[in-house]
Amino acid sequence: MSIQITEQQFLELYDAHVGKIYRYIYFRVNAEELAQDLTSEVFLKSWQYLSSKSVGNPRAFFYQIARNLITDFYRKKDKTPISLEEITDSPVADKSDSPLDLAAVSMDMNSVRQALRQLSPDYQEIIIWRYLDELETKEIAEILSKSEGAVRTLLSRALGELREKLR
Amino acid sequence: MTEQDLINKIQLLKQITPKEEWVVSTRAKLAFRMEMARKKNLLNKDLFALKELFSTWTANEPKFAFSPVYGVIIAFGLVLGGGAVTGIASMQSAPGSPLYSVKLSVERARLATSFSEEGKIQLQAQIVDNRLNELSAVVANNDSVDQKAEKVTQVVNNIKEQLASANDQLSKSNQSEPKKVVEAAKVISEKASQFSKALATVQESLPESIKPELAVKIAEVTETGKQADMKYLETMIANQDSVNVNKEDIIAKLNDQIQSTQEQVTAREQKIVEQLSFADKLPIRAVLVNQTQQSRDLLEKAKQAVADNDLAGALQFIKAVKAIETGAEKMVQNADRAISDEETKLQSQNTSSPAVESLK
Repeated sequence: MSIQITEQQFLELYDAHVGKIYRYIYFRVNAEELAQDLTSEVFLKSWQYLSSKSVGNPRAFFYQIARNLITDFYRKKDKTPISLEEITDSPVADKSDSPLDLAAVSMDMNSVRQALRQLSPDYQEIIIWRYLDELETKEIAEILSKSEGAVRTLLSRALGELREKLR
Repeated sequence: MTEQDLINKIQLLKQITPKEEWVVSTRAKLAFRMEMARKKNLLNKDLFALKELFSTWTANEPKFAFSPVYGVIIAFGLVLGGGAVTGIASMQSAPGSPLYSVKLSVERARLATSFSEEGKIQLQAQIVDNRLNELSAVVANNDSVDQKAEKVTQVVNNIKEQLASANDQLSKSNQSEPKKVVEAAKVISEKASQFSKALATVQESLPESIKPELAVKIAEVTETGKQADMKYLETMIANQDSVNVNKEDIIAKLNDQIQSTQEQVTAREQKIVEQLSFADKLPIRAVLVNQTQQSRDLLEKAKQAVADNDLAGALQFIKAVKAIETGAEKMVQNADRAISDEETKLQSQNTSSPAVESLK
């Protein structure tokens, strides 16, 4: 069911999803300022569309816009993703209690980040959406314009490859 | 590594979050641009008409024909481009100002993106302080009566939202940190009380003509404030063993609640006597009288519970009385309405025309 949304409702959607959209873009472009710029653009473009038209699933729509912007960025810049050695940003929030725990969590996080970055963009995306952003398979299928079965297969392969990279 | 281990490792990356300042400033810019886009659409429609208007003027004053129009467009461009300046300027804005809605948006964004419960409660207390300052400024201003009423209404609507949100936040707060929960409840209760007092002062200072309209809104805020007070009392009693809460304070607050509830019951009883005394045939009157007795009995039990040091029990009795009073108040209002309808019907029957009378 498509819904026309008001400005206030759109801002509430922003509050609910800005963190996840930013994180998705950040993992894809691996640069904080660039991720911020592209995230802002996602919401601006989304509003330009949603102010006069309606969509069934605004959340999926945001991810579609984000995906398109990332593709455009790489197409214009003719860049490949930055190499593993250039990962410099550290996490903003860390819930560990002691310095030792902090170090352990940080190491784990870095190893996962590095392994994730070695995957293809398709595999990266599907892992981020399913396990970080907790999208349903149905939503991911909508974003990728694939069947749910295809998404489950892709997810299984992505996890398998990530496991290999982490060994 | 099992699949669950792998997923747990992936979910460590949830700790990567955007910077709060960036989230808030981006939201403010987005809100501002959305508003400007809406106003620009309206202005575009008018600009065409304006251009037509000025083009007829060129016949007489060619030099100045288009400059006011260009002036408007340039000013508009500056406003659209000044997002960051606007965001900062909005924080100084007052009710009635075009940037006041941006200020409220920024406050909401800060609340929405605050990660800790403690942070959220502190922000809510700060927001209530903002409203208190705005209220004082509105009263002191030399605005017209209608402008004052509108601005006070804006502030009151927002404070009601904030107090309700703070109460809600408190209900969801982490019960494993009782000291913080009690402190948070105390802050909310104090702010709510400050606001109720400020509103009572404001109400007195406003002219009679707008008092009835505002009275309803102010009553809603006062009611939300009373809920915050009860919540604070509940929190103190629930955590009295784990946190160093002064029992004397709890007893004093319970006695205050019993006193104010007693006054409420007495006021309602008076209303029944004055307004429903001739409504003997209305069954509702019997129910209301019965409820008054129930409330009085429960209040006596509450006093006894305080004397017996059963503070939780006393609170339950007080809550039961409040629930009865809320229902009874609605019934009194309905009964009032029923009586008014009856009176109107009787009046129309008694004032039939002479022509009709002559036909009888």
